Amino acid sequence: MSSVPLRPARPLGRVVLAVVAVLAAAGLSACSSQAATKLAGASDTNARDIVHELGTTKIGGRPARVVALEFSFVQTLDQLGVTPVGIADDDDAARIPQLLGKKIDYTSVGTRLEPNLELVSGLQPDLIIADSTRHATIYPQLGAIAPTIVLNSWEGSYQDIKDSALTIADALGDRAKGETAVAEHDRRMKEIAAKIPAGSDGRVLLAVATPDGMSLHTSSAFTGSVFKAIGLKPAVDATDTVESGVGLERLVAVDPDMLFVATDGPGTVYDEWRNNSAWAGISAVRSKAVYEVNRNAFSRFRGMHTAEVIAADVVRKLNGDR
Amino acid sequence: MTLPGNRTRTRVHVIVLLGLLVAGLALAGICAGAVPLSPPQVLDALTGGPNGFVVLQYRLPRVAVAVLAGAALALSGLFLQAAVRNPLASPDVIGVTKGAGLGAMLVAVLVPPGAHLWATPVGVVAGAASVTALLLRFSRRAGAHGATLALAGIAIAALAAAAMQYLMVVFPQRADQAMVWLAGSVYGSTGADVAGLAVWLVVCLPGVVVCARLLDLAGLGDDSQSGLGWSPRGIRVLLVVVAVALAAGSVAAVGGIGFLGLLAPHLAARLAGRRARWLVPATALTGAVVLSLADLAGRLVALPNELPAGVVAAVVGGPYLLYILLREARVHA
Amino acid sequence: MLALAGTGLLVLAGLWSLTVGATGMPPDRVAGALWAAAGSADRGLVLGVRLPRIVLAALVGASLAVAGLLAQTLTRNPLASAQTFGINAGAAVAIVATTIAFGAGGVAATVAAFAGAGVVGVVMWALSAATAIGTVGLALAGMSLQILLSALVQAILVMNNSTQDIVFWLAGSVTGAQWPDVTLLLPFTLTGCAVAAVAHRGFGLLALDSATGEALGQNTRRVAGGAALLVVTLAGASVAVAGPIGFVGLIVPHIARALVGGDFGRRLVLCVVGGALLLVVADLLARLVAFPGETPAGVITAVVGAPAFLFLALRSKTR
Repeated sequence: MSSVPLRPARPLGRVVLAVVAVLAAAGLSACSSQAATKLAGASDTNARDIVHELGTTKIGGRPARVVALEFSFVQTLDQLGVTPVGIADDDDAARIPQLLGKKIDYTSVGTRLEPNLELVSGLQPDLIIADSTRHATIYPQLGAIAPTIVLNSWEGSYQDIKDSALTIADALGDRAKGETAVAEHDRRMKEIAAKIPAGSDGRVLLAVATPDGMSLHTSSAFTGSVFKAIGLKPAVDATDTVESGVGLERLVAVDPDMLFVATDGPGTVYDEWRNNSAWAGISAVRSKAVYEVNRNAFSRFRGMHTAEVIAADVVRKLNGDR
Repeated sequence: MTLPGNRTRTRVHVIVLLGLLVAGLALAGICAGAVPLSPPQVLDALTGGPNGFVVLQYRLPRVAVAVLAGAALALSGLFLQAAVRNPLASPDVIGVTKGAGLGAMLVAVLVPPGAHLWATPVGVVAGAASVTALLLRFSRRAGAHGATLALAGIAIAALAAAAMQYLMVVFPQRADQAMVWLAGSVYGSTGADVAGLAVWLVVCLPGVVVCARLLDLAGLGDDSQSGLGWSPRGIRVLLVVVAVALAAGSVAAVGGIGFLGLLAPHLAARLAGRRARWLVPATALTGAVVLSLADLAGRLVALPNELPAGVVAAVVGGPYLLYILLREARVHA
Repeated sequence: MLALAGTGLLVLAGLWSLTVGATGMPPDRVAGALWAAAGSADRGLVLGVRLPRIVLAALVGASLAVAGLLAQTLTRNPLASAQTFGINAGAAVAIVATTIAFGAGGVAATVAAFAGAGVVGVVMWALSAATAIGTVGLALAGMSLQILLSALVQAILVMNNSTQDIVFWLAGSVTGAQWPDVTLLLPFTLTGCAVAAVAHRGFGLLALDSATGEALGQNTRRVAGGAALLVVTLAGASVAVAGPIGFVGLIVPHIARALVGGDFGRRLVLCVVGGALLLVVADLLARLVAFPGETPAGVITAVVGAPAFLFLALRSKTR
């Protein structure tokens, strides 16, 4: 019996000590993080309060070193004449030229899902633009690096993206430039919409094909609301942006008159479905109005310029130019 | 006989060595990364110089979380293995991690993003607690066998996994984030995470101390336990509850790295023997070493990206698991 | 008799499944579609989308159930199955890895699935040979392997940012079934069941200890190796077309034992019919739960199978 150690085992004391030490360190770093945030906004005279998805951020001066954590922000910044110093480009450098139509110099800060905060901090930005779905949990840390605004890009509609352009312009200290950009964009969209042939009342659908099935983008999604903005009818009217896990039968039931299938290349269900006897039951298939498009351009990028690209493409196809 | 004294000295050496290893890895974790810093630069940053964010708010919290969560998960595994009397038990196998994951995922899809910071830990603890309540209920119904606990855990884990898969199907936009979380990652740890985890562990500490004393008892047969005035069932329930509390706290901070709870106790037992007074601190330190190492490696191998620490731990731990399994087979054969 | 009744139920469940789908066709329209001229929309849907799905569910269910029966007989462990032993997860890792590295491909994925399933199968077989590891120890070992392998799947998907593209397959599902999937799986299911049926006497003797088997003139080692190969083949091919669907292989052999007792041959017949029936019904439920949205059948089998597993596990402990 006496061999059972009922006296406090000494090595445990060490663990207690270690825990206390780490606790102290944690307290230290928590305090200093508060100090840093206070420091960031206070010193400026012409500071603006920018309201965004996760609160209000004070931004002073004209930020020039901007880090963008979503593609649509990159496009908006470019339209406002600012080249971001850092972009979360998913490590796919080819996407940025595709997004902007030109090459720019920037530093990749990794994936949009988990941007590398050390690299973001190393760029010493004076503004960070983050997405409300992906980056909500790292908002405090982003805020400790630089003033951060959080906008809805990933699940944002066309209107959200336009509103974001104004917010970003405001954050850059030049709201007027944002208003001009949006007005010019609206003018170009009107021009594109005017070319829609009379009597085009078909229902248009963007479906993203994956190895698993298709995701249908509804009237609330970015592409769906772009269709609506130029006067076309999205095939799925819903408040959820995306209807996912869709099988061939559901696609046949939706029965779009014009179908865009967005892919990353071969290897999706689109390859199989085209050879299925039920595929022919879709109106768009019968009228030969099915188009395979690039998933980056139609689904990942978003942004005002992307809206113009998509709208122009749709209108060209409606006019019989395949 | 001088042998016992020598052994004690060796074990003290092992513990001290492990402690130094944790300290060394912590230091390496603060210096190394996408932006490498020399120790003087680190000191400079600590006193308000440049790189203050990287050192104070990025690396220090995650190094601290890795040490604390690694130690807690390892202890959790040790207590579970004693409770179930099976060297293959772990918070993962018994369903605790999956329950916690389900809680976190429910928060991710039901609560608006702005509230995730405080809602996720609540969801995690609620999920882990529900699983434990179910576990204990089953084990009471079916008698106090350790094996019953393990099997009930497997079944509950499967149910929780199915629920998570359903959520991923309904909310595919969250699937990637859920996957990272499930794999377990120290990414994005803040000072608040460290403080929360540390407070939680301090609250658990009395339980850990009691369990550490019971550990030698749990290894004996049921009869000798009752002879000592403890009911076998009481010991088992206490071990499970403390193990779950430790696991829930760490899972809330780092996600599903329960695999660590399986491996660390085995490693520690090889280094420091099976006596609780050495095994408990050695297990905690081994857990801290493994998770710190996994995080450090995960940060460096795929720059500018990070591999989740849980993934690194699983890839490296896989061969060791195979070794344990085959050794089990040899021992029994 | 039971097998006939089961087949009847299977046909009924299949017919009911034919009438369920997003386009909502009443039974008489489905019947009409069957005789409609080639090229009609209804006929395309019924024969091109709904029928292959039902056939694939039946094939996968039968394959997994027979694999489970063989695994339980081979290891003499009532908790054995391709899923609880991590064999499904092994196949899944291999498939995800090849798909991401070389692009999707039915045949390449199937070959990879066999390799992944085979490696795990060898490890678990070696473990099960150590009889003293115990029923529960073996189940825990399998679960640990499964957790490790899912961590590898997570690793690949996280690095590739592509989880959302294959959530259905990950949970195990026949949602996207097409005739090419059926023709891919069919030869393996047929061969597997046929070999098991022809060799049912030898496999049945595996349930006894090896000394008895050898006394009865059996080369135990060779028969056991054959059974293990069949488990890996049936499970690997199923995972390749439908993802890692769990619990079918675990519970169907037990139901069969409860109905007809321990005779291997009679259980085999019931496993083929019962496995097919279980998965066809599970897939039918999967379509109805969130209609018109889809749910992976693997989620349904887990919800039904996990409590059944617990029940079996507790019973096998007390016995």
